[in-house]
Amino acid sequence: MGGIEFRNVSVRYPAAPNDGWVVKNLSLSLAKGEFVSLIGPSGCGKSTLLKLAAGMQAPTLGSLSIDGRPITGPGPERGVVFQEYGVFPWLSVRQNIEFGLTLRANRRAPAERAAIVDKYLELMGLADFRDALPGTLSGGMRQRVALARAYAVAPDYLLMDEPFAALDAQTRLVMHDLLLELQGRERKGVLLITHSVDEALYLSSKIVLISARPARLLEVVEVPFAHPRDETLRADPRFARLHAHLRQRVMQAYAEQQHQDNPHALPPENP
Amino acid sequence: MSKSKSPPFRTPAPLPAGKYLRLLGKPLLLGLPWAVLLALWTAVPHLSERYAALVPSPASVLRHALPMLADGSLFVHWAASASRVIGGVLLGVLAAVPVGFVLGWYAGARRLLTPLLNFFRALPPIALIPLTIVYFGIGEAAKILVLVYAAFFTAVVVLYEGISRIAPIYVNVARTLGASERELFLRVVLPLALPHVLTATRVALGVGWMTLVASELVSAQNGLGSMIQVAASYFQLEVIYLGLICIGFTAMAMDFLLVRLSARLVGWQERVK
Ligand SMILES: Nc1ncnc2c1ncn2[C@@H]1O[C@H](COP(=O)(O)OP(=O)(O)OP(=O)(O)O)[C@@H](O)[C@H]1O
Ligand SMILES: [Mg+2]
Repeated sequence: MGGIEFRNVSVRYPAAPNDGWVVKNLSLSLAKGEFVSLIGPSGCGKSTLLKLAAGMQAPTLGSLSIDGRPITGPGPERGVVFQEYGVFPWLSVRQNIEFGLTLRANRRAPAERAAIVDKYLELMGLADFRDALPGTLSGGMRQRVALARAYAVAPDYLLMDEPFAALDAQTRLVMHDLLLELQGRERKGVLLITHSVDEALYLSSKIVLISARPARLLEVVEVPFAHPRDETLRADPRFARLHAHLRQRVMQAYAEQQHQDNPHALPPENP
Repeated sequence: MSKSKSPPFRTPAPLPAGKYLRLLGKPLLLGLPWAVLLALWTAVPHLSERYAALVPSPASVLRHALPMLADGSLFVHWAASASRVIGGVLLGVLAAVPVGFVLGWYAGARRLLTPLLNFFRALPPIALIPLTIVYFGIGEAAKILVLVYAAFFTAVVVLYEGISRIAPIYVNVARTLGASERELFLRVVLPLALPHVLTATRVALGVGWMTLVASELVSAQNGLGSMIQVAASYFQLEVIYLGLICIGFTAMAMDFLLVRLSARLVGWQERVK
């Protein structure tokens, strides 16, 4: 029984509104091999939750643990894919993917390293661009470089902050299937932050709805669809029903957050 | 944070006027502004007697230059100035790099030391020359020291401004991939800081030429600044012009070489040409 566990976590930024509490008494767990999506309004504290799990900041109250040990900092067993990708612009595609494997924490022999890099270049469809600099790549390609770089160090967990937000709708669907395929090969515990109900339903085994700020759990929805999944899932009536339900809850939370951030605006027209 | 990351334009469409100029060929195009300048310069002495007395013609400057080229004296002046600039700027930038890193990386150090830095940076190096003469005499060391001073404070500011703006995303990515503090510095901060080191060197070179010539004007036996100073006391306008031209072209060439070096080392920056 491993996993990432949030126990009664609260976060306060003194500068933020409402007393500064951005996350309030939130408990959440991500089991090994489980794919959990977090949906919540903009500014509710989702990225903050991901940074806590990544070990990039500590909670004000409460605690986090990974496989039973407290989280005290970043670690190579947790890969992170950031909203802004963060592909190193001075390194080629190959060198970017290789980066983690050349660090002391998870150094591999050159031959093994090359094999790993080649594998992900192939899987991500980047083989023709191995020597390209990121400045010459499209957004979708940079996204794949970031994903490959995180996968290359073979983390048990993958934490992703709106990784597909900047992609066009078509590329996003391609990335969904790529991610599902990778999950089929090497199952990781995934925490995915998204604003898209469709994305969450298509990819996850569990969806966690987060409230307006301060972030609390609104609802946890188990996604019943079996793997492997493909496009036909989106036509499934159960998919449509869950989609409608989640969408309604999400809209409520978003409206509440909007009202909080801009109280003088007209109240949202909610049926 | 911008959400759309479209690839940058590689080849902007040429302006209609640019298209015709391009037909002239690149060397011809680059020579055009110089040719205009030379033509204007040639014309000025012909405007009146007064102008002719005050503005030596290009031909007469060349006439003065030839013997100085032949006996090597121009080269001696030029080499003295160029080597002082290169030495002083290199030393100044070298000293600025660690200080720039500390100030750029640690906000606390920045808050503590910025006022001090601004105090010393505000002092014009030229105003320090009398003091350096008092303390260090008029030897080589004094001149280099003023240069190091000017280059150091110029470079430090460019460096820490640049380094403090390094996007935290790259640092965070490297940390989550398992980088130690040492690896973080060597493999991420250093490459990201290199463009700023090169920019700092460029700016310091410009300041370096200004400072050096000023210090040579005050006290020196050789160098382009002293050549101009001596010529001024004999009212040899041709030699003054010659000195200025040498300074201008040398500074230009150094900047050009540095830009080429930057393009090689940090071409990944997608800099706007
Ligand atoms: N370092 C910080 N200092 C002060 N306030 C912060 C800090 N980081 C985040 N906040 C505030 O905390 C709140 C939550 O931020 P967070 O980035 O976690 O939101 P989010 O849910 O990820 O939003 P989005 O969906 O727009 O990415 C916001 O109101 C933000 O202004
Ligand atoms: Mg966010």
